[in-house]
Amino acid sequence: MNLAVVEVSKSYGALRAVDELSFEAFPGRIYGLLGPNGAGKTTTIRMIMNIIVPDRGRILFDAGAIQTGDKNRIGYLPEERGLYGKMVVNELLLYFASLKGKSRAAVQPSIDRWLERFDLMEWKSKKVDELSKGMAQKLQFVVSIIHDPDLVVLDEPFAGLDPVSTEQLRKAVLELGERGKTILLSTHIMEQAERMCSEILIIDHGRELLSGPVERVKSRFGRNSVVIEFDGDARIIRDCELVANLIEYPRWVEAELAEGANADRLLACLVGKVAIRRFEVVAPSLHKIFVDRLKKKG
Amino acid sequence: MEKLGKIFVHEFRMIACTKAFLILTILGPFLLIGMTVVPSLVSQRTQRSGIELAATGLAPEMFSQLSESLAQVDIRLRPSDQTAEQLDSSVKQENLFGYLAFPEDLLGGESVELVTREFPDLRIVEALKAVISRAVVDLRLKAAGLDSERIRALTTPVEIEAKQLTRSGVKSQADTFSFIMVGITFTMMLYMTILLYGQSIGRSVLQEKTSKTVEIMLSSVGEMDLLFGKILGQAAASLLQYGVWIGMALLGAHLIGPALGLQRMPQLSVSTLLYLVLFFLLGFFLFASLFAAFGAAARDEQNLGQLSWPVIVILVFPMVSAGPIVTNPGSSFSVLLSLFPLTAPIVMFVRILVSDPLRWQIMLSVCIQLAAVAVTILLSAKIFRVGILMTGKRFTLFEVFRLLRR
Repeated sequence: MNLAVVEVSKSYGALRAVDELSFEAFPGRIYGLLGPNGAGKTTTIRMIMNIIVPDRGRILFDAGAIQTGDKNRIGYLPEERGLYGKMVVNELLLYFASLKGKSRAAVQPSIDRWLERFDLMEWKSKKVDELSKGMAQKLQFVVSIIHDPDLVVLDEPFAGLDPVSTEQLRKAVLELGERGKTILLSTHIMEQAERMCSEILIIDHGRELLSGPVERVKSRFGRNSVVIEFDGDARIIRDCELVANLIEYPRWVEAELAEGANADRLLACLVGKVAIRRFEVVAPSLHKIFVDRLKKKG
Repeated sequence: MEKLGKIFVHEFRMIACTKAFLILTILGPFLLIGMTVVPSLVSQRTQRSGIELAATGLAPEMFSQLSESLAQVDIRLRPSDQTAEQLDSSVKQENLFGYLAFPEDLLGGESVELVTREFPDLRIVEALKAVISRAVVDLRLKAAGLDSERIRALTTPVEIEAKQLTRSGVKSQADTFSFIMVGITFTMMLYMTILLYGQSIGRSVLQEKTSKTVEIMLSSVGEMDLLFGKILGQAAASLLQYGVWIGMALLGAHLIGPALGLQRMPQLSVSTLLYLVLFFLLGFFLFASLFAAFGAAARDEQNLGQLSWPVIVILVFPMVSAGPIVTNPGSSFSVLLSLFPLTAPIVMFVRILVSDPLRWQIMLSVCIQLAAVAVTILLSAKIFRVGILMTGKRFTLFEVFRLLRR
């Protein structure tokens, strides 16, 4: 299913939540909708899901306006998770699948397969209230894809998951993409989007900041960044005049080289002052691009 | 429509397949009876039997006559030659319930003194007064040379037998006590069920919002399917419960009605029961859609309570006015309340139950209620659409209505 968002806007009183946003997502590709909290991602998704109506613009599914049956072809994992706690896991999945037009007999094998895959099989006959938060989150993902939708909209799917569950979910999403599903992935974690998406749209205050295929977006900003893994005092890197900007973690930095500087000189400058474990010239990360763009805009 | 049906079935199962529903279905009628009939029954039955009173200052022939008559109303009389001080002491020490001190000039009109440790039941006083008065009057008549039996036969009071002639020509023997009890019972029943089920809808919508399931539901179904699926599911569960209750009420009235003193029940004909279902449904849809709107707008249970109270006050009004409505169903007050949409479901039905209102009044009441239900559902749907996705804000009633302008 092709999804096209065409010059869509939505305001709440004086607040312009989404401002003339346009993008397209295609089958077999994962489209990343990125931006900080409050950027307008969830409002955009709610308009796509026909939960709220745009003030202006159009949302097209396979080049047409949404039809009665289209909701059955869409799977949605909302940012605000919630399930019927008193229902038994299997009954809950059957109920939500039935609302998407799937019969009990048709969907039961799929339910068993997904529960098995997410280590939830032993909870099949238990009430949802008995699941841990992580398990409930995985179940919520299963709810969103149990009817085998053509378009999967995932709003912050990895939020609050432990590393093992994150990996399980990541693999499942990539697999859905490989199976030809159109996937719209909304997240504020740039690293995740960078690793999973083929195309991205970064928004801030409801407006487009950057868009396009991930590699093209990154190449636009050149290869003037250096990733350094090290042991020692980060202040030495921070204070170095060859570094223009720095994204800093305790033992890892992404440094943007100052104008006229090069990686060799930086390496020479640091040798002997910190213990370098990795030194790699890279294209800037989406995170860095996003932060820089915001700084320039601000 | 198909999705509405699925939500309807889901909601019905979520309500009807719970222990709470089963318990309420079984205990509901007992609860209702407990709140209406039992208090009067209990007060009728308590302290009537097993009372023993000492009698002092009474001639032997008078004593045997009185003790025989009082034994018929379960009051035992025993003669005593103790002084008032000794009897007082026995009463204080709880050796004696109480005593009657007869004056020397009983026939002359002096009063009899009843002394008990607790304030005596008024019915005991009435029974004593009736029996002693009759004995004294008999003695006075005898002293005057008159035949007391003959005089009593000549002065027997006339009973009034009230009969109701309805427009359909059926005469029913009306029993005021039965009318009041049945009228109040049905007022209570309609009030409790409309309030209970309406609030249940409000809580269900609020839960959908607070448990965050609403967004995933709205990604599959329209908001109107969700709203009406919920309301219809609750309506079906309510009707099931109503059916059981009516069945139990009819059976109960048949089996234990006479024991409760309801000798002549107002006619609970098929048409009356159909009216009951009709007015219940009108009231249910009116208040359920209002509560659904409040549930969609509310932030939490407390906020839902605050938004609902003006509606509850209006709903309580027919209940607190049940007395005047039942005893005077044709008054302007009763007619007005039976046409005002928020009180009409209860008041119009009670008027039909205890009287025979003009047909045009019934039709007008139903039409007004249908129009009110339609308008309320439309307005509530709009509040529901806007409010259900708004979280974190605590609305006032005024702000809820402002949502209509969005």
